[in-house]
Amino acid sequence: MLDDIVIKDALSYLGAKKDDEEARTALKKVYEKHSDVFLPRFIAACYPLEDFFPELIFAGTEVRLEGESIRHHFAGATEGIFSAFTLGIAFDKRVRELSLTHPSESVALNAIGSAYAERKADELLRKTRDEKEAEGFKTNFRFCPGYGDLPLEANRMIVSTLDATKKIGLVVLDSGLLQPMKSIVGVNACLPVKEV
Amino acid sequence: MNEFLFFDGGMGTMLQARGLKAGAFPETYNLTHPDVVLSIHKAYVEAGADVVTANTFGANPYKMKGLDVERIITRGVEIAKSSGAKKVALDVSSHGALLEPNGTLTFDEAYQNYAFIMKTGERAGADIILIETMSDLLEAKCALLAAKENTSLPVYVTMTYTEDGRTFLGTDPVTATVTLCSLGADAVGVNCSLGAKDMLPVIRDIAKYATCPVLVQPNAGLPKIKEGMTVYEDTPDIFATAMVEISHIGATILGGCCGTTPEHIRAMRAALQGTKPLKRVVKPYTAATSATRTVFLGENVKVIGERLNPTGKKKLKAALIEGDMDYLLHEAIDQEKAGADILDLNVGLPEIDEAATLVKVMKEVSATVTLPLQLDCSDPVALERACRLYSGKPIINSVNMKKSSLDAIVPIAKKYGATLIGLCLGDTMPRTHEERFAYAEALVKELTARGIKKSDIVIDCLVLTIATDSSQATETALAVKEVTEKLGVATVLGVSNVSFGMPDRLKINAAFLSECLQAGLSAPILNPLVAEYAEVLGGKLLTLETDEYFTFDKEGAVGIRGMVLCGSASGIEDAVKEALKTRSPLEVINEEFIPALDEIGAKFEKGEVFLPRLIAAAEVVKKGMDVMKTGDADEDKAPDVILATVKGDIHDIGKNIVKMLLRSYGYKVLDLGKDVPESAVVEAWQRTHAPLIGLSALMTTTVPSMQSTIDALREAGSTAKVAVGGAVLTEEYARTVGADYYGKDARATVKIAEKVIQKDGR
Repeated sequence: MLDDIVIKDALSYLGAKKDDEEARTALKKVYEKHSDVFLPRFIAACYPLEDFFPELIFAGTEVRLEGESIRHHFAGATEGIFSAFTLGIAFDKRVRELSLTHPSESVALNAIGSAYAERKADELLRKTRDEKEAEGFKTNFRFCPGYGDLPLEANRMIVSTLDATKKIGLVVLDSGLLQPMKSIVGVNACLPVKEV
Repeated sequence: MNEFLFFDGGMGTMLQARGLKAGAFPETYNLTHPDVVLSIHKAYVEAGADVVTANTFGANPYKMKGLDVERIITRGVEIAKSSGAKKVALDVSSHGALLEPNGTLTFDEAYQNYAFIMKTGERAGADIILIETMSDLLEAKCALLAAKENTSLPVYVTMTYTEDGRTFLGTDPVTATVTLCSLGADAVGVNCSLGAKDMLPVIRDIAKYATCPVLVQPNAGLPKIKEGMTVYEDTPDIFATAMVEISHIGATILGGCCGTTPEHIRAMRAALQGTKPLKRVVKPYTAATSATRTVFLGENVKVIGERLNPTGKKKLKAALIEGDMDYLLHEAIDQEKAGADILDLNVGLPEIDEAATLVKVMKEVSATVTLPLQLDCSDPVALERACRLYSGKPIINSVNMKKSSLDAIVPIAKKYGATLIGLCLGDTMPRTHEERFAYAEALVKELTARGIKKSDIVIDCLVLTIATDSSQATETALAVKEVTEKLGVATVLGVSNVSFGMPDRLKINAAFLSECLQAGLSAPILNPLVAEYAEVLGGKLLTLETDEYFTFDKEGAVGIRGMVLCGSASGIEDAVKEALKTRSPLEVINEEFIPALDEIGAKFEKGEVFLPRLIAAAEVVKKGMDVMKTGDADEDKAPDVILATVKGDIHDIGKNIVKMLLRSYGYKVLDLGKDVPESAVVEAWQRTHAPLIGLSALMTTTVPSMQSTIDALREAGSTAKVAVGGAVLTEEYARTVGADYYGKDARATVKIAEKVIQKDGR
């Protein structure tokens, strides 16, 4: 079942009015028909922040993150959660197939996939965040390469560190884009509560 | 195999335990920490591994740009050889990118990388090539070909499967096994992802169909992440117990993957001490595979869809000439949905480059439907290229007893492990069932003598029309019966040929189909959308149904305009046919379709309807306009608009919406696809002189490709106006990259087209 937030977001992506009940019902039906291609996979790991300036360095990894935005995101943090999520290639294929036979269904499914991926990635990340919060950290939101001045190239470092190609089937193209299409890579900062 | 062959266990996880950072290349340790790598190999040898795997898993020029990959591979093999192991395997894996058409890496680029790796490994002294942890069957095939064509080493190939029993790209173990064995792998199997216990169902499938030894290298359980480190929890005893069970299924080459240690290998060897490998007996099978599905011929009737063949099909012919992939793919999808098991693919037209077109269509169809393909082609160049780039084990249609045919086709089928249709034809045309059987018998004898396995041979008893000889239907059916019973091979027939030149063809075809099925026909080649065949095949074929999720306000769907506004396609064809009795096609377009599209477009702009409704309206228009299309040559005019998603970008949903809306407005669109290089856009413009070019890009990283494409067009003297669109673009950004127009959305792009293109009668 799709939750209300996913439907609301998908409706918004498609330019629907919030109270468009017919559109809402149609999206639910599209999801039910194609729920077999929603195959979420997720991986996350925490690493201590070793250095902060001029670039963020995480102990035990080769990751180097640079830029004002990511430094701002990690201000006061001592650890970072790296995460990677993908909805899988079967979803991409279904959207493509529908674009040929039922284009309206294809764009609807694509919007549902985008909204679902965001929601599901947050939900799966919640467990790791809860664990860190139980250890006495405050965790902030998932910051993704491409936000602010954090380059898309950072996707590659995070995917390598998590071995996400092998473990969840997520690849990074030369352009820094992720594949499958509905994939999310991000970092959350873990801030010791006393320092917040 | 009379004895087990024992491989070593994990290398990457062992290196991580010795300080390798997460995300670093483990293979660089061959240069920086050779002593550490050697100590791991030695520990495995001491634990009883017959084969150690060189630390070369990710050593690939594609991944390790800027590093001396040749030296890394050479040192990796040298270190492994100095461990005292009986044999050393060169370790090879994926590029970490998806091959076309799923991704952007070309087969040829991947092949070049693999050939370099294989040659380097053999030169350094490797005894075996181990291609492992593969998710993409096409990439595994590419690596296997590179190994076979560039070295003389035995090649083992293992795929990696998830909990659902498929690879990340959807390949199941039966399909991988059938395909890789047919390509000549010396061992096939499974590694990584799962623990030994979890792999049992996958291994059973592999052992049932593998015609070569089975190799199994599980992880030490499912991976878990603790404190930033991946940990594996199966102890050596748990691992060894499961490996004994795996040996009972028939695996004879055993080792470990991530998380396994020398202790796991030692425990496995001890547990199997004194045990002899199981002798498996694999029942011969006749099969075709796609990347995700295997179809066995001879078990129940299988339907081969015939609609991807231009003979007698004007619209398909026009689509092939124009490169209209959408039409072709739609035909493929409809056949799959109707219940076809395999699709015949024939693109033979004098007007086109058959080799290039066959490969292009084959790749696109393979990426769109899950069915195996039957490559229907007599041009050996086209056929060889298509077989090489096909992700699976294709059927080749066909070879006959003429020497020229045998010499041209058999080597291709043999090299690529294809299933081969032998057509009962030679220097004479058979008329009786006895003559057909004689050809079939001769074909089986000749093809097996030339190295084709009998189980890879399928016989086509040749259907001739009853228009000139009424006995031909019965003679063919009798031949099918005789071939099935006496030769024991599967059979196919092009059913509809029987009625060529006759009236009431479908009824004749259906009666003939029934007769042949009773005679034992394995796979009729027919149009799966024909109801008469569905009746004969007893529910195997289905009627296509359409869900109209975005048809709102159905009671308003009256007349063409009403149907478009409501997004209701039911009845649109009849309504257009009715309208055409009194009006010209152009009048119907200008008086019905365009005003309706304008009205729904205006509502979309105001936020009164959402995007799927706008597209649903365009779908209705498309269906209505299809009624007007004849496929005649006079429609073969130059395109109004060229569309492309620029190089490096694979997100083409927005571009496809634009294409659909433009076509609904009557514009002729040439769609170049996604990840399109600058040169292809320039070449398309030089060929067509289309007045408008639309470029799309989703991300900031691919917008520079937009600029370079526009620069290349200007340099080539293009006079076309360029419109750009995509999520990150703005009016200002569009100007920065040198575009003439910014298309905020599909509706805006239509308005740009109206401005740029003068349409007759509009």
